[in-house]
Amino acid sequence: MSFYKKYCFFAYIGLLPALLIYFFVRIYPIFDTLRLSFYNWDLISPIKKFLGFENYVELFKDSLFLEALKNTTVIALSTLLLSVPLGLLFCFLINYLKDSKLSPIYETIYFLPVVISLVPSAIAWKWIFDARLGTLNQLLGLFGIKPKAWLFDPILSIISIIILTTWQTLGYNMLIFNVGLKNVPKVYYEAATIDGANNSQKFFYITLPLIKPIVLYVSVVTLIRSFNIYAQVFVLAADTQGAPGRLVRVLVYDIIENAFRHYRMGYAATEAMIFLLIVMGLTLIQFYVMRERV
Amino acid sequence: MFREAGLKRPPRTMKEYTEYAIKLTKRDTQGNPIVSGWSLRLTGGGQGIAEKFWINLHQWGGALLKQTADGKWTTDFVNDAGIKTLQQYVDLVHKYKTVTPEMKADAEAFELGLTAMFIRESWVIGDIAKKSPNLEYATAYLPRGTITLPVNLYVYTKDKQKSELAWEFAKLVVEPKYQLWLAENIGWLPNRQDVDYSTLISKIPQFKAFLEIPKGYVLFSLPPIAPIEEILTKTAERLVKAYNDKNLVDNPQGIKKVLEEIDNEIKSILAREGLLSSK
Repeated sequence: MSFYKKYCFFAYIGLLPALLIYFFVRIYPIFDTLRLSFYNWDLISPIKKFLGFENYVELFKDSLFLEALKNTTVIALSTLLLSVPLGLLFCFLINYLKDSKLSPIYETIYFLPVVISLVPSAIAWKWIFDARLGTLNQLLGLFGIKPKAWLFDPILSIISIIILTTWQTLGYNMLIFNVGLKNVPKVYYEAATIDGANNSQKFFYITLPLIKPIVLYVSVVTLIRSFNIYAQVFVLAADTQGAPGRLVRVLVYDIIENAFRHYRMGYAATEAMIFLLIVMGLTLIQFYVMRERV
Repeated sequence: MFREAGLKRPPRTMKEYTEYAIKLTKRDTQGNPIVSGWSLRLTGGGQGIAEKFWINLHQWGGALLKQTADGKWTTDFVNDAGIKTLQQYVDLVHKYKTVTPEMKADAEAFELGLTAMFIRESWVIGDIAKKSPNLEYATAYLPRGTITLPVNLYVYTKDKQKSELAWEFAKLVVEPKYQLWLAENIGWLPNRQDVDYSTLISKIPQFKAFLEIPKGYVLFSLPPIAPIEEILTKTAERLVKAYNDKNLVDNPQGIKKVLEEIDNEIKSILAREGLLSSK
């Protein structure tokens, strides 16, 4: 065995434990979920009845699944369209103020939502959105706008979730863009200045092309995280004696409900597979679109 | 609130519930309700919405599910009882505006003085004692009857020693003194009917409506079938939409259509599980 082969063999042996854990924790569950999606299983029964594609056929006739799919897509795409450009904008503004003593404070303020747990922040937003006592309605009242039932109106409740999710995502996006911006060599800007380029030309012809891989990464992560939305809707509306808001049904909520409330593990697995395909498909589309323009 | 509204006794019919709700609602200067006359479960998630609907439906003589002679199940609400039940919800929200989805609801609203009456289990008595001990309130029977929770006891039988121990424990917790302790300290109703609850009732009179069941009071419980939660959850989703639909005011055909949609969904779930009665 040559030295190179021995070296590779040692590397593979070294990687093996991590790969095995990754396989059992990440890869195997996907295939097991796919297998389960063809069965009817109630979580505890030793018998699993084979259904073929029945779960898939039922799923696309299920009004709750279709509603969850629509809501999740609207929330995820809106969060993507808001938090990526806004993250970039705030990143530029903070960089613009980088010589200011307040710059770290701004960075902290924007990043704070990322480190706060989802549940306490969602509870705080529940109070902000409260129709009677909420600060958002108080603020709108200053401009003569009538109080809105943020958590009860079918459209406003989805907008509330979008606002909350964007707020939570913005800081992370801003931080990653900041890292990307700091890696753009200053000589390009100096050369552009000598050539007489203005700020917008520098942004569109230097910054944006060079940080495109970062934009792609941020977009993919934002989209996947937004599709995974669950805790926010649960805290804002679900399962509380006082019934504080209209439930905005999302995919993860629907999957959990079918699995652990209705004990339909096979059906929930079917939903999970469709969910996986959607997220994978959208991610591939993003990669394709961004690759074309790099 | 009842005294302020000149009401000297609790409502006895579902029609009276509507009349009472109108009289008991307190409004701001623009006519918007600030204290609901009758708090209804209109929003949120889970099966609670459908369960509460079923309790009201029961008063009108209907049932979300009923067992047939063959041991299977069917529905019983696409009828006059169902229409009246859903109509009452829609009327109270949109026509009489005695309650809105945005208002605080249920036990929390009652404890805060934000609703005059609501229908709930006995645990609220214990909850009020903890959170709002000075609240002056009374409990009353529902017009026809109410829901009860089935008691299930699962005992491990493979190991004789363990199964005997489990049985001893089960017997211990239903001893009269623990049954009384449960009601007084937690508020949930005891399982036994052969215990003398008079001391408890004289101490906490609100328990009377829960522990002294009048003759002819019709009790029902959730069917012990696997898809019950799915049925209630999916029904709740449709009910929430209906409660928010202004177009259903004075629209019995629209209400019937909603009920038929719920009926179809429930029957398809029952059929899928092999539980739908052919009768």
